[in-house]
Amino acid sequence: MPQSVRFSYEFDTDIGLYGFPILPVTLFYKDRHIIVNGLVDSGAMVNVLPYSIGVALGAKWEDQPVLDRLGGNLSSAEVRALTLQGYNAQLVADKTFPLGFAWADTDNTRLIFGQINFFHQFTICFFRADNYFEITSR
Amino acid sequence: MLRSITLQLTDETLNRAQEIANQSGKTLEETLAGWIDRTAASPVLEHIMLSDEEPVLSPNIEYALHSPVGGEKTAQQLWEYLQQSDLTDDYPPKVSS
Repeated sequence: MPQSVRFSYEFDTDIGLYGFPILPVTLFYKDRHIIVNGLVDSGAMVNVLPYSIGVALGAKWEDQPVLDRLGGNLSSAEVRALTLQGYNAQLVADKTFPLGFAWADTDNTRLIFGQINFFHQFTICFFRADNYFEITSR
Repeated sequence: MLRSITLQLTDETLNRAQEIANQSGKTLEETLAGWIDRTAASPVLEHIMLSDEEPVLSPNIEYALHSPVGGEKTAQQLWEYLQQSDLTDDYPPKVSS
């Protein structure tokens, strides 16, 4: 039976409060990898990848299929589909998990783990008042 | 079988029903009967226990939620892209030093 893993809300020293549910994940693309901290966001329809992270992983913008634009602070950004592999030893010890991203042409966004497809692969419970959230692999 | 009953309604409800009846070309009675029929047919209704103040949700029942607005089409496109992609999940991937 899958085990739930508990993560603490990130403490924001600027405001003196536990601010956001942040998850560290290693992203793999071909022969490169990078460690990122992503916002686990149940209100986001898709995973979102800032432009510079995709570039750092060696992805070629012009090779990726174009998606419709997103809303909010990304409404003016072009987005393209990019599939990466994610890894977090606490979540899944022995294998990576696929992550489809809306790769934005801007860094004016956090890296976001959203409904498609992060929430399709994990069961996530938020205990905001107690400053932690739990993730269970399916 | 249709049966006739007497209802006691507030002026607000009665005025609203009359307004809808006028717009739809139905009688006041037909409009009210339609409202009741549609509400009674809802599968969720039997699981909502009405208190004096507000409805209470019952456990083990799936209620519909309104999804956040925005990004649905993008999400659909991304989902279709994922279905077509090779999503091998072997670990560790080949990584250069």
